[in-house]
Amino acid sequence: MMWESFINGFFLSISWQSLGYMLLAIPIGLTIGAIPGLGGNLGLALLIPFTFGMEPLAAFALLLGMHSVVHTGSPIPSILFDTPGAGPAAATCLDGYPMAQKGEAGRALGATFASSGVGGVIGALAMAITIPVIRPIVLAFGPPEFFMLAMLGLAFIASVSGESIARGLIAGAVGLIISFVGMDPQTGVVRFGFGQLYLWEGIKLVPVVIGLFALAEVIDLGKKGTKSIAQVQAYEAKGGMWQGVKDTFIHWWLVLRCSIIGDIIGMIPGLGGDAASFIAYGHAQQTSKHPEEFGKGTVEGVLAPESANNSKEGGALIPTLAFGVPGSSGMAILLGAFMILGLAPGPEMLTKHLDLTFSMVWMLVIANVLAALACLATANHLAKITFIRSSILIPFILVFGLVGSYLTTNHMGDLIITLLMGFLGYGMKKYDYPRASLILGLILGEIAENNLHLSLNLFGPAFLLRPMTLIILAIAALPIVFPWFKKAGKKEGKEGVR
Amino acid sequence: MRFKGPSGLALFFIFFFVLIIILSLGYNPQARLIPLVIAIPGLLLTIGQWVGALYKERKVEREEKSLAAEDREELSREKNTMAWIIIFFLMIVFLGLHASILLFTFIYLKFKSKESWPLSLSITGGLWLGIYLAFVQIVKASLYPGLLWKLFE
Repeated sequence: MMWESFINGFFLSISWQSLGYMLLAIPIGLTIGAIPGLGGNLGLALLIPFTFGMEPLAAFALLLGMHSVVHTGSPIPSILFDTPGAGPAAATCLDGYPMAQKGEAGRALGATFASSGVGGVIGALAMAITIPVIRPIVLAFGPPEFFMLAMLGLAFIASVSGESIARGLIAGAVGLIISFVGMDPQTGVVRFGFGQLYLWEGIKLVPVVIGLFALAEVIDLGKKGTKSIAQVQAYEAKGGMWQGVKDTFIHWWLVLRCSIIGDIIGMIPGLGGDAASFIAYGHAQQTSKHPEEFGKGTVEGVLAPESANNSKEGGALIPTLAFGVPGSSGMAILLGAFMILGLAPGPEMLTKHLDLTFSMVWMLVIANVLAALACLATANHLAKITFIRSSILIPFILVFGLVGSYLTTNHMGDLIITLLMGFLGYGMKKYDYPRASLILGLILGEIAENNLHLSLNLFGPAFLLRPMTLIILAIAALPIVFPWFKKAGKKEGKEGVR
Repeated sequence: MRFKGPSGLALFFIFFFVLIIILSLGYNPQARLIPLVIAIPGLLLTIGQWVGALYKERKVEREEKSLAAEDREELSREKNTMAWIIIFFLMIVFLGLHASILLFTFIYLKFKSKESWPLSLSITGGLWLGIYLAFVQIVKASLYPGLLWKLFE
């Protein structure tokens, strides 16, 4: 029955109606992803009213077709302008933009689109495989496991810190403190609000990343006085889009591992998929033969976050369908679509509507493949933007960045945050404080604190002794311990040669 | 006490963590626990960074008496760009996003980048139109009107 539904789902997803809506939705998703500040959630919110009166198949083709490709479009400004199209795309800025500066924007874009497509497909297939067995897995996770997963994410601060772990930890600590701004859900106390209503809801991720990356880069561009973002002439540009596609398959093992990381993180409701790209980046740096190249324009630094970014959407759909528990904020909006269409997420989706569930898997596959192909067709043309004069690009980046930031909550506070983060981000870039660590702290701080308090209230300190918690703790220790073993191994090797 | 360079940034982080610690002490124990657990080690680490940065800067100062002309030019461009960003921000505050996008883009292209009149005008118009269509018409977002417009309302 499972296999029959899998095949039926495929034929449902390639019906004219389904394909038609996907072809309509894919350009919308790519555009929304590429414009900083919009985000896939806005796209879902805009499209949901159109699903009234639609058949479920058509509605999900429209919604999933749009949502699953947002993260294919969001790294475009990350690579070209160091301006993330969405929060998770900030990880792609770390190596994507330096690649553009070296004249390898085409290669970076090719790598990002190909790895996004592959990641999305792996995420969808993982969803298909885990649907029958997902229930005990997700039910095994409670507040102690969420806390430890947040610790696992924070442990990667050590990985992305580069040469100075101390500066990485300081940046991570600043990010954590920023995440505590606002009303503490445990005590109801408004922390670090300075009497401002705007700060009651905390500081949002998008204004921070736009400031830290886009504004900081504008200052850097202006300071250097370079003629264009690419610091080489156009005829010196290497590789092009096809090289990036080849890189995806040369580094297939990295892409597969990071896709699985993204899928697992997306699958766990409450962890927040935003961390997936940074965790994947940290993992890639740790396991790379040349970790010192990260941050300077290595293609692995683009492949890792992008494959995780897209695969997490497949993962996030799993608890949404199986339990009605949204795996991400986008899935929370998608639950609204379920209600409009008269469907109840839960056991019925895995029994009565199994064909529809598997059709969603195929929609993710088809949408990601089509989006990747569409973007690859334009990659080399997009790359030419990096050869336009900086003096023309600077106002573009500033305008799109600040407008995108303002749209987060339609409040001037977002612009103030972006401005302050811009100057801080420039200082951090100039004096080697890793901005990725700050972002990791910001994303994971609230999750870690809330789940720590819940765990202590429910289980007391003994929560640390739960089996799943201990396993995750051991995994969390790896990003810190692994580099030591690697260094020790190299030293022994040298002694062996002597 | 130096406020420039790596030691300046480290000093900023020191003030930041000290402020957080002082503010946290005013909250109830559960609310202040985690911020203090993060801020106190953060402060200690940053003090270490500050001392290290001061030592390195003094060593560099002994070796190089003054900034090269190239470095001075870079510093000037850096401050110039920051000033332009602040100007854009103030324009948004007072004139709103629509007007400031038009004004800032044109003034930057024409007078800072020294582009030609046709190019400056066409890029300004194209950029504003793109923002208007994408955000106002399609997304139905309302962009900040500015303090001056609010006064006239």
